[in-house]
Amino acid sequence: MRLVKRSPWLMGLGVLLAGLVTAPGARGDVTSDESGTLIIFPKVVSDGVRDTLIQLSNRTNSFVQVHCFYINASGTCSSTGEQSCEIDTDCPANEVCIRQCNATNFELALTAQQPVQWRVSTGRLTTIPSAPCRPGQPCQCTLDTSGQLVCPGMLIGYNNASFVPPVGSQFVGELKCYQTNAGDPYPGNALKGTATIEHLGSAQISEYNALTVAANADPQNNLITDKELRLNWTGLGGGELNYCPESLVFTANAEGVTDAFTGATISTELTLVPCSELIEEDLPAPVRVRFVGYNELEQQVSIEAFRFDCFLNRRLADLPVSGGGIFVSGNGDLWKIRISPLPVNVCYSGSNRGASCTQDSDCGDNVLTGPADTRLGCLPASGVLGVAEEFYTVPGMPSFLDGTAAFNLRHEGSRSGFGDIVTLP
Amino acid sequence: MRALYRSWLLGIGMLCVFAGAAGSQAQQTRAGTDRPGSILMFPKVVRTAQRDTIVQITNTGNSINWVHCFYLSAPDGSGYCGAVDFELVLTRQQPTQWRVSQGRRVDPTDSFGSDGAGFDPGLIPPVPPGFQGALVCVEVDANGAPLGQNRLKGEVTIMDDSTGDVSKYNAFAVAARSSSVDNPLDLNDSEYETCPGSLTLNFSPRGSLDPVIEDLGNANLDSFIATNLTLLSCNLDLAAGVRSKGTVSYIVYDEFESPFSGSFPHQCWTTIDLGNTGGTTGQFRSTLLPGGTIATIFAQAKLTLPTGLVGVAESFHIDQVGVTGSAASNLHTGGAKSARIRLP
Amino acid sequence: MKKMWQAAARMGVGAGMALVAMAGIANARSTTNRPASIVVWPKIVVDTSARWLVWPTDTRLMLSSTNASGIKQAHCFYINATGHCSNDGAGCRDATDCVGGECVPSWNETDFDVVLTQEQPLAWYASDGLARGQFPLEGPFRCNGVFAGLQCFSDAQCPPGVGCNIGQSNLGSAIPPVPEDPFIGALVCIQYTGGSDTKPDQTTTRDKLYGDATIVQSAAPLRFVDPARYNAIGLEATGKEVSDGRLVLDGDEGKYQSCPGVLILSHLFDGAVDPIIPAVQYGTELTLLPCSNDFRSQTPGRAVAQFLVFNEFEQRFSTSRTVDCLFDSQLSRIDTRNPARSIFNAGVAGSLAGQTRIRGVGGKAPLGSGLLGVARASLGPLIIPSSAAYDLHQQGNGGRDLMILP
Repeated sequence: MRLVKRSPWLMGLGVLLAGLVTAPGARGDVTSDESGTLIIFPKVVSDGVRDTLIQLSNRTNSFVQVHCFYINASGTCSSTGEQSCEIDTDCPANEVCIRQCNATNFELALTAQQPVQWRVSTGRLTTIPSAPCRPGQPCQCTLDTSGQLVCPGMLIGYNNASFVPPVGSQFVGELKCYQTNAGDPYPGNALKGTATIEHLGSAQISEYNALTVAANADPQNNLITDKELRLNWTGLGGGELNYCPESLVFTANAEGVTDAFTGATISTELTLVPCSELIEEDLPAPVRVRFVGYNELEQQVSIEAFRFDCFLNRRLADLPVSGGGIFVSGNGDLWKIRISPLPVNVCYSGSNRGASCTQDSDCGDNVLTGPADTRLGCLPASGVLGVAEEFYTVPGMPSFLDGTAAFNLRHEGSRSGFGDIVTLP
Repeated sequence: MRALYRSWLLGIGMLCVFAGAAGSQAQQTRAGTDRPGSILMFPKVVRTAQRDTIVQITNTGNSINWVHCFYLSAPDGSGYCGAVDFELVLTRQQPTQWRVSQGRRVDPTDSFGSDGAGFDPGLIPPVPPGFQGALVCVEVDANGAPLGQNRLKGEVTIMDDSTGDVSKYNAFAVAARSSSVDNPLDLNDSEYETCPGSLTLNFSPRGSLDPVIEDLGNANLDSFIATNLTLLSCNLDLAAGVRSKGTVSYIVYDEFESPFSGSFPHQCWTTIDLGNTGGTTGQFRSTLLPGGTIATIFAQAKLTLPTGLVGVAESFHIDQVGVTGSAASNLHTGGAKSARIRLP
Repeated sequence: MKKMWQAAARMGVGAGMALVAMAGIANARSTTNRPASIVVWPKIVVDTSARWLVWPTDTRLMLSSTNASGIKQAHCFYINATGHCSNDGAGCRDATDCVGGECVPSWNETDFDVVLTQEQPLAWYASDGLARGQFPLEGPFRCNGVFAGLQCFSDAQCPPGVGCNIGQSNLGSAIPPVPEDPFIGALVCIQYTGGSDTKPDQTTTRDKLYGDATIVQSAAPLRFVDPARYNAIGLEATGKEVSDGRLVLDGDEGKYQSCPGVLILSHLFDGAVDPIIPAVQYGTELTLLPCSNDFRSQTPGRAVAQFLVFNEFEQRFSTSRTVDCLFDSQLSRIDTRNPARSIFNAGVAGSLAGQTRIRGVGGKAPLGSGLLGVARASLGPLIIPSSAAYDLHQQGNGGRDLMILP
């Protein structure tokens, strides 16, 4: 009998190739078409005019635990507290826009390959047992006396407890979820999702894919089970989760341009959220970005050093200031816009929070420290992620009949160095 | 005697040395308004319900010139300046102009005699309604890198759309001192000229009567003069939009040589109302020198700057029925301060 | 002992070699997030007279360059998957579009070039295209230097020795309208180097194109617009020169990244009552396009799509369907002609939300079996249509696919 020789070379190769097959794509990308450990829905709307349907799926054959938080980014002016706003220029002179950026936490459990859905305004209840739909009968959710949805499906949790809490009808913000194991972050890369924003009057829908951030599953360098998620992985070697992109790019019609086929006026709403989040500290992450636009005539205009905290949701007609958009018809019919975080350091906490800095001492007093002792002082301004939504308005028709279409932005490059940080409660 | 003579000569020699030193200091060049340069700074650009601004830029050279321009504004009162930028191309000796409320498109079909007639320099976005800020233009090469050819000159006309009244001033032009310039732009007399260290303006204190209007028969003696001062920092981080701030000290002399002094904070862009008028109430942020402080109708203010600043003053002369005439003037400069402008 | 250490050392070196190999292996799959060298729009629908669809429909296509300097050329192929009725030759998607006849499948391609200047976006309606004279940067240009006041299209129009400053332009571009109306098909664009010796771009400035499509329904009398926008799918180049017109899509082994191994569709089952507005129900259209195509011999790609369907009870169903050139269908018509009995129907599936995994198999050699796709969700019944398009998710690397250019 011939002895089968085992080759140590091949064994070593085999071990690592096995890791390759199961490891996520070694690239360092935030994507909208693959699964990940951290999943971000940048635009969640429940404002009494529109509502959002979230679909979240487990794409693996294993049971998955998920921790989520809604971030409500509704803002009010500092003195005229009743006036809602998004950035400072929405407020009267000498006032600033204060965004609460409050987080509401909840937890989910998904079985193998399980998809779930819920309506954000009402949330959804766990019901055990739950009757499935039957042919010939309407397959629908019903509203419980608590105002939450009861839907057919197997949801892990306590009977009649909230599977997902409701956010009500005064919510504009984002949803972020990450995979856990016994409460700690876990690099399972199992989550994928979509969001459908629907108008309550016209049923016009827009749908986009959630953004996913893959985690480093290498046991040597994997997601450290502390309460800080570090987005500092290139896809190879050490690091926890993929870096955010170096820039975002998208093509949009100029504001106010008339569409040749429909005669409608087209407007684009851009939603940006920071890659960094200070959930534990309940502080918004400071963002500094640059917009550079090229029209079809290759002409360029740009907005330098645009600032916002926590969440931005603006029509192009209002960038950089309300009513003072530069990516408008009259300056071109089509714009390709690149959004790049500025390579500057800003204070994440302290008495000078939001100010530019070169060292922690520039941030004043009360500089905070994260749950894993990362000093939250002078750090690189946060990366950004986002989606966009088009609105087609037919002249003379009310805005609730606008046609809408959401789309994901393109990513270029990857950030480097410190990357981004999400502190968890 | 001989020792005394020697000491006397020594004194003259020392004086000559000091005078020479002063002379060499006087040779230190700083930004001016009367010759072309590589950086143009227009401290006051406005677009309100009533007023608009026309910007004129001219290429004084015999070859094509690229220009990178930045509108700066500080709309929220925090002193933080954001920028919207665009690019121009000027052919040899080409003057160009645009109205900031409309901007300018590239449209080769503009008819002769229309606003857009002539070679369009590039796409210029309009500023939003209510805009108050500045414009900075930098000479660059075709790739956007700074270039020190010293061929740009500029003027601004601020116009009242309802009355047709106009004010006009020259842009500050900062000349390149070296053929080798790069980003950031160092205004240190080595790469580019320095910015002024002091600014001087003559003005009529708030509430002064206009002697000309009075002479023409303003029987109710209600004529009024007010002055607005606008300052733009020479330290501009156009990439990061970092706030620039400090404190400006001033000393004012009236016609009796009586001094009044004080200070006020400045930011990236600052506008100070040296008085209130019916046409400008609410437009400006602070008031200096309330009426009655200065006993004469004419005064001189010297501003000592902690950092390089350029500025322009605009005076408003109002008669008894509220008709307003305005006039802008460049400020006299003195001293020198180094500064830095960082392009994106 | 020594042999043990030697073996361990060899294992370590082997592991190291694998690590080095890993360093060269980027995400070897298609992307809807990044610029790429091959851009695919799987679904283009034109029906301006509403012969097939309830409302007039057109598709607005966008193609953009992210190249910071210099032009990029895109060589593009419209794939016409419109069938024709056997009785009258009219365009059809399936037999329901033919009155008394069969819908005979058809496949052909129309190719054209688009030259994009640096950072330039372009957009056009599929029914119109963009003709010479409609591109933004076609001139006239200006003579150089002191003769800048003279307009020109070429050096010959300027004084001798002066030259015409053409710079970057769209000259050389022409986008035809889609070949028929109504039309269903796809578009594939490949980044070329441009210039006189143009070839598929594998240079260091490859992967500079991205695209979008907006399917627009509109009806003038009712004055509404229903847009549905999706990102075109990109396949990045690997840097290996293409000299024979054969674009191998096989990750680092090939000239371009591979198509995904599995497509994942998140959807509400057909007939599910909308949780937000209970008066309407969901429906989803799925479009699949084979990654492989032989444009030289006019042979379309072909594969069998296997569907694994999971509901919210973790229950699983499966079915399969042939994807011949292009597959476009309501979900609940994939496995049956009776949508109420489909595994994609909410009543049969048992829950509202579903996750469907799609894998392509059985491609005809040398073409592979990879698939790309896009989905469109819609609500109804509504007086004014409401729909939204979105890209599919993906998992794993597909096998080897091939695009053969003419």
